[in-house]
Amino acid sequence: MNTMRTKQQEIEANLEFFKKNLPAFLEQHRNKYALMRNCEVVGFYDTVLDAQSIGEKLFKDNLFSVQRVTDIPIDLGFYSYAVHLGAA
Amino acid sequence: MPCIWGQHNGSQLFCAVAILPVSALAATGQLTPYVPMAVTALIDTGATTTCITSGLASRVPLTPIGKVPVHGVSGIAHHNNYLFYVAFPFTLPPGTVDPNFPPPSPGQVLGQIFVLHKAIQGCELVTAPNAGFEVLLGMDVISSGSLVVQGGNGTFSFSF
Repeated sequence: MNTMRTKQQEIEANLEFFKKNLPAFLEQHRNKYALMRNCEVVGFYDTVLDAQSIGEKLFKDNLFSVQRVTDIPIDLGFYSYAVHLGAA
Repeated sequence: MPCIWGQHNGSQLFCAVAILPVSALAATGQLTPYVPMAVTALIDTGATTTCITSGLASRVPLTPIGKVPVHGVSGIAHHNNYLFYVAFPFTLPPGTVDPNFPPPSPGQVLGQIFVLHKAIQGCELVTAPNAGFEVLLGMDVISSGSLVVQGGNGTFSFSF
């Protein structure tokens, strides 16, 4: 459970860095997948599977995250507005 | 081409699915020893992406890989997302014999599972307590196949 919290903390910290730098990432890496660790981008990959598998090979402690370089949010259609989906 | 079939209630489509971690599918495409659990999914053509509840993610188990922006009632929020495969389980008719497996014990039936060979990057959603489903099957899955809804006899089919 402690590992899970740490993974979640890594995801949250990387997300803040990612959001701040998204405009710059979009210019050259739109729709790629950013492999991130310690609030830095390790690399950009064409598929989420590539980013995930390389992350697993490089970081045995599993402390990394993968963010898609996009500014288009997911639309859940009717369901988005039927149930509150939680906070950011 | 695998095809699932079911009945709808005139307003919503539900079907049984199994969520598999990507590690459950070996490089050969064969299912590694893993016992998938069947859960109920709402088929939603209005959703761009498949979503699962956090409770289901814990039971599979899945670890979040990152976060994605999602439209919600209060604007855009970032939700955990997961990497998984969607599969469709069937129970075979009673009395079915498969030479590869021992005969089922009394009260048990043989089952079969069809895995959609496309890694899904699905996000987490919160459902109402009485929602009756744990997976929102979005267009990332639906567009991989052919969905037919029949009004006359109240059935639907999805082939992929």
